[in-house]
Amino acid sequence: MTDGKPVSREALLTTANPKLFNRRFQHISLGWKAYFVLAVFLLCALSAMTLGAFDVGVLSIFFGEASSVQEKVLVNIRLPRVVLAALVGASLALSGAALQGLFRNPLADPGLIGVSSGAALGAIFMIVLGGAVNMPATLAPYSISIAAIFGATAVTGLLFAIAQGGGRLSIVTVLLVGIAINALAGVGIGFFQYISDDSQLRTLTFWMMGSLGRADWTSLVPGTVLMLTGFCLLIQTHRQLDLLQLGEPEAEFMGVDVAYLKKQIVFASALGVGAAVSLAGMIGFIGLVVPHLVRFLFGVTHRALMYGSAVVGASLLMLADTIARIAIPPAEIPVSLITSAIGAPFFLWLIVRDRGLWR
Amino acid sequence: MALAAVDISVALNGKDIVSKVSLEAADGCITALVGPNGAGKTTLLRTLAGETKGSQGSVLLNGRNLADYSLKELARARSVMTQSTEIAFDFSVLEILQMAWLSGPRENFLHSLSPLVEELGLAPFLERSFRSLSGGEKQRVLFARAALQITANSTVRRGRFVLLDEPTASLDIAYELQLLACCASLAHQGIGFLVVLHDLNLAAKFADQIVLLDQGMCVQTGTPAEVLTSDLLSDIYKTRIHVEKHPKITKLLVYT
Repeated sequence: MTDGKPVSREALLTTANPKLFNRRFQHISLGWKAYFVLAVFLLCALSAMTLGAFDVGVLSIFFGEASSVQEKVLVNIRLPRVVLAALVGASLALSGAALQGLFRNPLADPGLIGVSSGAALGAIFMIVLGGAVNMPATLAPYSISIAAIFGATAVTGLLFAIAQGGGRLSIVTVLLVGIAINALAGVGIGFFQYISDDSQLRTLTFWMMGSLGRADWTSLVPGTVLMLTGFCLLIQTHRQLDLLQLGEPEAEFMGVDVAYLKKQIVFASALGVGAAVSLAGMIGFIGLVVPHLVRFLFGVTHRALMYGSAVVGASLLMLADTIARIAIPPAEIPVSLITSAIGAPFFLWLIVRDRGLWR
Repeated sequence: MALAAVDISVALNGKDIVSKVSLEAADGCITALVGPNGAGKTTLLRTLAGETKGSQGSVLLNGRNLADYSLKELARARSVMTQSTEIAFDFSVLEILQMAWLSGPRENFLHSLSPLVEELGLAPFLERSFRSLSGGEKQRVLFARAALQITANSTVRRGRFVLLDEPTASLDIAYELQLLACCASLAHQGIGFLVVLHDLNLAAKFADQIVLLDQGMCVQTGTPAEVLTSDLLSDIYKTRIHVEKHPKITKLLVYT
């Protein structure tokens, strides 16, 4: 018995084409969308390298027509900053996509489960009380990064210790513990702000609003290794995350080790986000908004979503940083103000659209 | 080959929800779990699926303890359709069906997808969002996904099981019959079905074996004629129930 027209095997194979995995812009193939997103990424990277208080023509450097000053600005200042923006943007967006899938909640992001706050608390502790910590001279340049990663890992450990107390790691408990950790970290951050002196307070404020200005090749290396490790661990979970959307028992019935998956995603996110926060401060909305934007383009299956989020997250943060640098030259606007200014209205629009109040 | 519970007990907050139940669901057959509300049908099904651990006793799948299987091995040997139909993101029906694919060439999987899609009448809404479907349509899609997990990943049918928890709860009379007829045709190929059913007439019509549960205990196991007797059902359901053989379809007819 069939309901409506029967479907032939050939027709089904055609309709099972990955093109149909995207409900919006269905007439555009997945390949073209990928090209479009990559083109935007390249455009953002090029503008980020070229534009600024000191204009650098990338093409002129490529053809050997640039002055040595331009070359130095590009290689030592602009390029590490662009690489950092791309890595941090990709890390935050990919972690957001993975955590939204894990929590089966479109509002989840690294900030929600307290990872960002933990990293922030660690870094702020080091900024304010770093002088009292005896650190070997070789590690001194990385002290804030180490403290931020330590903070993110400590928070994740605490999250697991409390949420898994009853044996099984419940998603609701993770979210509730995340809220409590955020509040506790808020207390710690407030305390350190209170005891900091004027110059520290200025650094803290700028750092709390996010900045890519501290980028240099030396500090990039360890952060890059950590962020790329996080990437690899997250990207390989795409199929399990798809299956998880039917429910935890259902995913297990299809062969997914849900307990292991949860640990893998939470720790990989802690790694990526901890490293990102340590290098660039608190940057909001990327982890929350980018996955939504990518679902809009590529659909909801996690393979396209996760790769897409990494590329779009990188593009968005490079763009935001370029705007932050060129809006009021020679001053710099904190980059989180730009990401929030782009992200918050977009997110509101998504909520309104999904509720059918607009359309 | 069979899916068997041996003296299984399941306790929740110190209270036995299932108490010393033994049953054997053979492959190639439909075994129906019936009983009043709160009899422990779903808990027993979840224990047989491997989700809930019994406080005592064991579950054997083809003679091997369920705990000795890896999750991936189990996914190939049995699939489960629960009562949950909620999903967070806007997956299409086709994407949900494709979740049944475990490994191997995707082309082969897609080829085996087509007959079931036709049989269950899912073709018109393959591209629709799963969340936009009615409860009954969702149940048909999730049933198809559970069946495909067994049929589309391998040509082996014997020793494979599909466990269904109230698969007909939101279906109209036509789709109830269609879904269980689909089970019967797959059972004919060698797959074993363990189905929680509330409708005793459907159990009478389609089940090869019925397990009647009450207050966590197995009251009677056997063919529909052995289990569906007027006195036993009236006693268990605490209401007067009549059972007669239907003169035309030669199946039992249960009515109050």
